[in-house]
Amino acid sequence: MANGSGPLAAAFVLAASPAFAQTRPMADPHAGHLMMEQAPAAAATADNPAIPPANAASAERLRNSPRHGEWVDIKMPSGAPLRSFVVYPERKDKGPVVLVIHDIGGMSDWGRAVGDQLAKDGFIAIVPDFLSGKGPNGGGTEELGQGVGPAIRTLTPDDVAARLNAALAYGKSLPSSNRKTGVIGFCWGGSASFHYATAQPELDASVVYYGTPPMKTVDGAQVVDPAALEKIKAPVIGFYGGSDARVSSTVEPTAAEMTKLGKSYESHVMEGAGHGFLKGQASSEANGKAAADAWPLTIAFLKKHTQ
Amino acid sequence: MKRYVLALTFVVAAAPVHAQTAPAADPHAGHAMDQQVPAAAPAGPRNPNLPPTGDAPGDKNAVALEQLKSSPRKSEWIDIKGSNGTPIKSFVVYPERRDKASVVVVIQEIFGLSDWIRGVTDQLAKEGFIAIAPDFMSGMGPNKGGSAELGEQGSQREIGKLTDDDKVRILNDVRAYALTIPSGNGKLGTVGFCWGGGTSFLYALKQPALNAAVSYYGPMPADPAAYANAKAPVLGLYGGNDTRVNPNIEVAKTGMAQAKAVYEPHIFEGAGHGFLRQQNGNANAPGNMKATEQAWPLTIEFLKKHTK
Repeated sequence: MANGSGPLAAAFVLAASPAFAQTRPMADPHAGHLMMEQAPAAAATADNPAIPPANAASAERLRNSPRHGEWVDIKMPSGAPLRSFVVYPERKDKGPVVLVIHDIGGMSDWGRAVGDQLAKDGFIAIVPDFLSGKGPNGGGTEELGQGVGPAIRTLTPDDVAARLNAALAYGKSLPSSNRKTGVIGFCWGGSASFHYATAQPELDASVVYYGTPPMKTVDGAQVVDPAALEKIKAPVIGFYGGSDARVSSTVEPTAAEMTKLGKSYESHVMEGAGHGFLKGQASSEANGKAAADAWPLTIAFLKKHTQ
Repeated sequence: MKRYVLALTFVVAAAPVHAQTAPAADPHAGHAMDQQVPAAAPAGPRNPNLPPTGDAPGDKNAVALEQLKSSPRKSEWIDIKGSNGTPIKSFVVYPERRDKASVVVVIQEIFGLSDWIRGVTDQLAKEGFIAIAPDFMSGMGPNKGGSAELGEQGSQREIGKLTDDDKVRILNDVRAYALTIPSGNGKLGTVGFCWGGGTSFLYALKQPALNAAVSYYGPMPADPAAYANAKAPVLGLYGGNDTRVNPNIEVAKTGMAQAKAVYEPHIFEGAGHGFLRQQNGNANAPGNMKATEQAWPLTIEFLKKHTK
């Protein structure tokens, strides 16, 4: 890393500093990273049951889950169904709801396994297929197959927010819900999670995994959009790969704007980790470490704001 | 000769009774003594008087498959005539007894007619019932297949397509067949789990001739009026840590009382949803085995009482 030069290293330094400045927890994971650098990979391929699975372990996780998961068709305002996988926690009392936004690949076993992990951590997890109705014969991700890429680009942030609103209302209607709602998203869904914080004042927490904040174009350049951020009510936490300059370069300007606006934003740039490190936790030691560090912070954040 | 057969029958019949009483206390003592044993390891040899668990380490259905493989009882796959034209593929196990028996219909979980459900079916036959597990996914899988063709995840995905009318129609078809079995005594109960628990309760509300319904952690209608036509007695068995299902227990109590129907709910503290299939439990559901040890004898007792 010390030998690094050019835009990547610059982005990392930029990205790391606001995180360090903003939050104490940030310091610890980094210290850990540095100290662990020489240690052998902490069994990067073994399935760590305390965090969501690596992509390849998803089906097995779902197969062996002790929790109740069910597919439901949540009604959207248009009347069309939002096909969603809902997982319930094993708990006695009412629990908060977390909406899970899948990545650019659409609905997947991995997304559902993230929902299952959230339920293990005490949340009612709702994992919608945001491509519901975009496939042939009213289908979604599964029916689209190779068509997921083009189809997902037709979904505007407002479309996604409208779908999330349907899921949020469904969650609040559940007898076992405490009527608090968080949202978590990955990659494309991370950006959607951030955007949803600007669109839904009833939201209690937003978790962004390697997604960009709302942006606007000024003089041909993409910059963070303060007018959008100003609408945010919920606290936002972001997790970024240190080697994901495309996304992590937005962290510092976002932090600056959020601070200026008096909004709560906590950012964690995981050193050496790439884009999609949670799903790709088995692909490198840094990704595995980032996943293991990020998830407990995610749960603590969600619990704190949705109790 | 006759005497010999009689004596044998007595021994077979006595075994479960014995198991229901004495071991009920033993496992508890055992737990306390075995505290040092790693949590993942099974507490000891499995209790043959409880259904197999469906959360065995490694292959989760290994215990159920072993039971099915070594079962001395006669089992068979049959196609029950469906009134909508779709045959209902069903797994039937016959008890070893000389007199007529009541029929118990075993209603699957959200995962379809699984190996675990078949293991439970065998266990009910061991207790003296003619046990029938219909595949509610019949005809819904690829190439007009069912649960086997869909797999557990596929069944979970497709099962929501079954309406309440579909569920009642299938159960009525199975019931019509069951009442023609020559060794049947003309009485019929249902036992269901999770999705099937809800379906078992639903059937009690829709089929006045049903003799008994057992619901393992099945969801119940939120509207008290839905219980108005209830006749059959219902035994409800719930995990304390099942926040999704349990809120409607009070509604069901009210509704069943208004219909003057028997409803016996039991809530097992520390157990999660699906405790009978996941007897090993986990940190959020440490009481699953204890719940199983209590719930299963209640199930057998209830079914025997109401389908004699």
